[in-house]
Amino acid sequence: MRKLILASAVLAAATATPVLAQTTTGTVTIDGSVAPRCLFTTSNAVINAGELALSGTGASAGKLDASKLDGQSRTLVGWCNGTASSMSVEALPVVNTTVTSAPPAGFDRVVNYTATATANSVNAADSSIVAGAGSPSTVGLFTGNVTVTLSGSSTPGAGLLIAGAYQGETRVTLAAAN
Amino acid sequence: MKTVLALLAAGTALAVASPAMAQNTTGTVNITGSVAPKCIVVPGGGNTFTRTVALGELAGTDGKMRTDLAGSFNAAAVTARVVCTTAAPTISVDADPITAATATAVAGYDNSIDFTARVAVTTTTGPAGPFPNDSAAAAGVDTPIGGRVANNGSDNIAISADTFRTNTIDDLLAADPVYTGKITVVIKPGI
Repeated sequence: MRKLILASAVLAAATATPVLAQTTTGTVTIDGSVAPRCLFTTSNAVINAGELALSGTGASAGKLDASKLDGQSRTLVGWCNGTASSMSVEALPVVNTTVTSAPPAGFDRVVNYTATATANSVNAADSSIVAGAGSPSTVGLFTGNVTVTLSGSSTPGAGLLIAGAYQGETRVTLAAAN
Repeated sequence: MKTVLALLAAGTALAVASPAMAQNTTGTVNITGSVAPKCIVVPGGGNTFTRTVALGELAGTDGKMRTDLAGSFNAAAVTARVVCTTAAPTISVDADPITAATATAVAGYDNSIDFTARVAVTTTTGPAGPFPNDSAAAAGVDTPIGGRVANNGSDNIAISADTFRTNTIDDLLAADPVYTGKITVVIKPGI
C-alpha cells in the first residue's frame, strides 16, 4: 500500500511539471559617451591700466608705476567636464606698439609681469620674461570663474618708459582630458 | 419422463439461442495533453531578447545633455516579437538611468541621464499600453496587458523612450567614454 501511494505521488509530480510558467525577458541596452571638453563662456576681459609711468619729479619719475598692473584682476568664466583637464597660462609682455625699435640706454619699452589664473581653487602661472606658456595645472572637473591676477611687474632695465601705446596679453588655455 | 422433457426443452432452447448473440469488444485510447503557460521570443523560441541603442555623444556643443536624445532613441525603432500561450499575460518595465562608468558628479555636473521608457504591445484586439517606467522611479510591477498578444507574424512589442534629463537643466555632463543605461521588459504568461 505504501508503494502504491509513492507511485501516485511520482505520477502527480510528472503531471504537474508542464504547468510551470515560462517568462520572457527583453533587455534594451542604451549606450552613449560624453567627450572631454572645455569651454570659455566668457572668454575675454580688458585691463585698461592707464598711464604706466610714475608721475612727479623724483628719481623714479617716468619709470614703471608697478601699481598700475600689480593686483589687477579680471574674471573669465568657463568649464571643463573631464577629470584630468588642465589649465595653463601664457603671459605676453606689455609692449610699446608706437615705438618698436630697440630702446636707447636708460629707457625701456617693455613691461614684464606674472599672470596667475585660478580655477577650481587651482593656480597656474606664467612670467612674461620667459617665452612660452607656464606649466599646466590640473583643474579637473569644474564650472565657474577663472580669475586672472597680475603681479610682479617690472621693466628689463628699470629705465624710463618710452612714450607710446602699450599692449600686452595674457592667454589662459583650458585643455580637456579624462 | 418429466425429467426427459425438461432436459429436452432446455437443451433445445440453448441450442437455438446461442448463434443469435453478437459479442462486440470496444477498446478506448484516451489521449491527454496540456499546454503550459508560456511566453516565447520569436523567432528562436528563447526566453530573452536583447537590443542595443547607441546614442553616441550625449552632450551638445554647450556641454549640456543633447536635447534630441528621444529622437535619436526612437529613430532606432526598437521592436521585438513575443508570443504567449495564455489569454492574460502581464508585463513589467524597468528603466535604469544612463550612467557614466567612472565619472563622478560634482556641483554643476551630472553623471547620469534619467528618462521614461514606454513599451507598447499589440494584442489580438488592438494596441495596448504603452506601459511606462521612469528610470528615477522603482521598477514597474506586473501589469495585465489586457488581452492575448498578437500572433500575426509581425513584431508586437515596441519600446520607446522620452523625457531624457539631467538633475537640473543647466547641468553639464561629466566626460566619460562609457555611459550605459538599460530597459528591462518582463512578459509573464499570467494565468
